[in-house]
Formats: sequence, structure tokens, C-alpha cells
Amino acid sequence: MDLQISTRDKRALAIGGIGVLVMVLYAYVVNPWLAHQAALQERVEQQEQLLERIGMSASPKAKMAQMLLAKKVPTYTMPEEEDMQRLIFEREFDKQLKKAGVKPKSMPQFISQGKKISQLGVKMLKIQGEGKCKFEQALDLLAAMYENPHLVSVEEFKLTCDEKKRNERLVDVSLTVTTLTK
Amino acid sequence: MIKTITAITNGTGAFQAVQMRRCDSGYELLSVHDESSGLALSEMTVGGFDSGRTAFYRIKVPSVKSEQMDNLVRMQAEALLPLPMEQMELNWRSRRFEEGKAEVTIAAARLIQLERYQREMERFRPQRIYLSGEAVVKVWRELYGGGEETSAVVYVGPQNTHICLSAGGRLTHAVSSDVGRAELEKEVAGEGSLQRLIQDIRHGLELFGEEVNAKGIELLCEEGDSMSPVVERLDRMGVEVRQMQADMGKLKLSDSVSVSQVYWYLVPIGLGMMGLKENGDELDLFGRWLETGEKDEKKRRVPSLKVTGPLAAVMLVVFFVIYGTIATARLTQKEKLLQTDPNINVRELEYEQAIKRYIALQRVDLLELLQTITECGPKDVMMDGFHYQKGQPVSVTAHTKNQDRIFDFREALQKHFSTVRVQNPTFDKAKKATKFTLTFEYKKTGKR
Repeated sequence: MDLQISTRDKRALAIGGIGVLVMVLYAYVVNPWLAHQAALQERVEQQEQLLERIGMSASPKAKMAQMLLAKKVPTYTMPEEEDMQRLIFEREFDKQLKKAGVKPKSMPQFISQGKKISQLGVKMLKIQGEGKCKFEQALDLLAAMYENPHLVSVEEFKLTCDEKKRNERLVDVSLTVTTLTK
Repeated sequence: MIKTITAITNGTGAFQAVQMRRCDSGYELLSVHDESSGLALSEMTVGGFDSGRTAFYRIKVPSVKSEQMDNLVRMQAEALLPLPMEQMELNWRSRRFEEGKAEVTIAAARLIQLERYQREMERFRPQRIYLSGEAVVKVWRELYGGGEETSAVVYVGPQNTHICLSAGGRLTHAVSSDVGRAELEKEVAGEGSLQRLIQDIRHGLELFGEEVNAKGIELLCEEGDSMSPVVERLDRMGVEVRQMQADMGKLKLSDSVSVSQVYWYLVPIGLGMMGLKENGDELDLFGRWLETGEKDEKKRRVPSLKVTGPLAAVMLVVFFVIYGTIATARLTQKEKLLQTDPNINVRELEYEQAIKRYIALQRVDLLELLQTITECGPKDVMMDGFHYQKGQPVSVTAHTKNQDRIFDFREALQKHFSTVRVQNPTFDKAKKATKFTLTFEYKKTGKR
């Protein structure tokens, strides 16, 4: 059979053919590839988030965050059971007070158990220390506070000037600090 | 300047093409073709649209400026055309006439027919498409000694017959008959085709007007063939026929072309002559489809889809490959980082980091806070105490002999902290000074 096909028909057939080819390519090549890439991307993001969480990410943003974290928490030792933690922390706190030149009124004292931090599975302990020292010594104490690897933060800090010995710059210091226990 | 040209007729009747070029004596006919296969296109290609499918109107309009003329002609054409303007394409040409009036020849054809023909011709990529009637007049002038006088020119072509009116050396009207040389030669008895042809010629002459009718026709003849049946019949009907013989001096033939072939290819030869020696005032019905001049240049500068399409496809594939490779490489790098140290306990590290982040949120820089307060305090203000408790306003107790200093102190603190308030300012007789407490919110007091 002699089939006569006009130029217009040929063009329509060519466009149709290209359309079918595009659809087939999309269905069997492009779409699966896109799905594969999306899954791959998701895995990459998961791994990146994990690396960020453990402080090993190489991204500039994560590095900067890690640097700031290291500045605020230069050292920290993971919490122990309550009794052990109290012992270790109170000893270290007492050592810090003495090192700064604070004459303690008494031994550091356990005040209370703070709230339980459920997302971390730990409890917070509050310890108080009181003493007398020069104003500069109080500043030294504050500067060295975060070197304590068991300290979380200073909860309360009170300085009262000794009126009688103002010339000697003597102050009464009261400090409440916190630590974490399992 | 164009060196060689391919002229093609591809409408009513058979396919015909010639290749020509200019030479010292006029034109050289390089080759003739009766089928499109194997036809190599020259640097310029022109086509011929059957003027039998074109309606001609001759009108007289006042001689006005050319820009006004177009509007004038279109207005008149609107009344003459058998179809609405949007379904027709028209082109016009004027020539000087008498008494300040110009005679305008309007050629119009149905858009649908023009589009169809343009599509048929698309594969030859023609730069121009002329009317076949114009080609007949051109060949009559170049080879048959035609001049400026008003004449009816008849060419009995292979498949059809062109009956053209020439005035001032240009086509002003044309009709055609579907009876051609081939049909006339085939006919043995009955003379039906000849009769039809004669009627068509008569009809054409009537359309051309009385003056032309009286003058008769100029019949383009082949050398050695007087076309006697046609001439005799027309003669009997009172139509004067002048048989014209071609002057081959102006048309040089290459070795592959014989003299006898020339007559059969008169229309494409005329088209070729028009293309080689364009006047610029040809009746152009295909201007909207065919790009010429600057447009051609622009088109050449824009790469064709045949080049850009595959290039874009290759670039797309390369993009996919690179994108996929990068994503895979990133994943591998991260997984490798986690697997390199077997001592890494991801869970422990994650927990440790979470604790550190929590601690960082809890910590405040008390040293910095005390330093700021000391800097803000005026010289004659004596500090008595300082109290910071997480979640509560910071308080500073002090005394001064000059009450104005309390305001100065407060003002200085306000530059660093919010909600600065003076609490319980009382005069201490023993000290002869005002005791006061300043409280303020410290942004880093944290949550209790």
C-alpha cells in the first residue's frame, strides 16, 4: 500500500513521537532517578544532622557553633551517680573557693535537688558556699568557676560589702552553683 | 550578489525546477529537473505560486503618498474581496496613470491556500515565492521581446495555461486554465480540452477589458511549433493571435539542457530571472512567512534547534550524572567519617554534645556583668552589694552623697540593660548619704 504522508502529518507524527519519548523517559528514567536522588539527599541530610549532633560536621556553620560551645563549656565531665557526683563536685568547689582565697564560713552545702531534665535523663543538684574575701578575689573566683569540669552554672551570686572593712575591700560572698547527676 | 539560483514550481501540475545564474549575455540555464529528489539547492531558492489561485483586482485611486495609499487600497480591497480580510492575504502594486490617478493591481489569495503552499515548499527553504503569472510576464519580456505596452500574454504550459495581462511591463491581471500542453497532445478526438482552453482564453480576455480583447493575444510558442490548432480556433472566433518565438540569445544553455526543454520550463525560468534580477516591487503574498534580509541574518545568528536540542540534552545528562555523583560522594564521605574510628560511640557522643549544649544555655558571664556595672557607676557612688539570681532581676545596692549621681548611674545602666529601676532611695543620717538599690533585667539571667 502506498501511504502518502504530508509534511504536516510528518511534523505531527514527529512531535507526537517526541512527546511519547519524553513521557517514557520521564516514567522510566527521570522519575526513578529523581526518587533515588531524593532518598540519597535525605540520607545525606540525616548523616549531616548526626555529624552536627556529635560535633563532627565539617560545615562552616557547624564549626562555628562548635567553637562557641567550646568557649562556653571548655571542659566537662559526664555526670556520675548522685552520691559520687556530690562528693566529687563539693570537693572541687571547695578547692576552687580556697584557691581563689575565699575564707569559707562553712563547708559547701547541698541545698536542694533541682528539677529533673527529662530529655537528658539527669537531675540537677544545687550546692551553696559562703565566705569572706577581697573584691578582687571574688572576681578571680568567678573567672575560674567554669574550669570546674562538674559545674553546670552559677545559680545565685551575692556580694555584700563589709562596711567596717571597706578600705580593705572585704566582701561577703555567697554562691549557689549547680551540677548534674544521673 | 547572488551567483546561482534554484527556481521551483510545485503547485498545480508537476514539479519543475531549474538552476540558473547570470552571465554576460543575460542568463545561463544550468540544469532542469522534473523531480525533487537529487535536487541540490543553490545559495538562493525561489518558488512560484500559481496565479490561477490568486484573485486580481485593478482599481484606480488618487495619487497620494505611499503610506496613505496602503490604507486607501486596503479599504477598497475590503469591499472587493470575496472573503473577510482576516482570511485573505493581499499585496498591491501601483503604476502611474492619467489625470493624477494611479492604477493599482491588487493580488489576493486565501490564507489557508498560501499556508498550505508555504508548508509544501518549506523543505526547499525558499527565500522568496513569486506569482507564476509574474514569471510568465518576465520571460515574455526577457526572451520574447515583450515591452511596456498593454498585452495579453498566453503560455500553454505542460499542465496548465497562463493567461496574463501585462501593462507597463508588469503583471496586472492573470487567470489560468487547467488545460495544458500534455492534455492537448494526448487528445485524439473530441477536442473537448481545446474547446475548454479556448473558452478560458476568451474569458480571460473579457476580464482584461475591451481594449485588450480587441488587440488579441501574444502566444508564447516553442521553436518550430506554431500551435496551429489553438491559433486556428482562436482566429475563427475573431481573436487575433501573435505567435511569439523566443530569442535564445539572452539565455545561454549548459550542455545538459536542450533548446526543446526551455519551452517546458518557462515558468521556473521566469522565476529564476526574477530572483536573479529582483526589482523589489514584485507582488509578494508570502512576506509574513518568509524571512528575508535582516531577518535572515538574525536567523542565521540564532543556532538552530537541531544544534541546540542535542546539546541541551547532552548537558542535561551531564548535569544529572554530576549531580548524582556529588550526592553519592557526599554521602560516602559522611559515612566514612563515622566509620573511620571504631571507638566512636555515636550515641555517647550525641548525649555528650546534648549535655554540653544544655550547659552552655545555662551559663552566664557574671564577670562581664560585674565589669559593666563597675564601669557604669559614677566615681562618688559607693557600691554596697550585688545580687544575681537566675530568673530574677539583678540588684545593685549603693550609696552616694550626691543624689544626681543616682540618675547618672541609672542612665549609664540603661545603655546596657532593660527595665532599670531605683528601689527604696532613703537618706542615711549617719552616713549623710542616700542609700538606694538599682534593679534591672539582665538578658542572660536564664530560666529558673
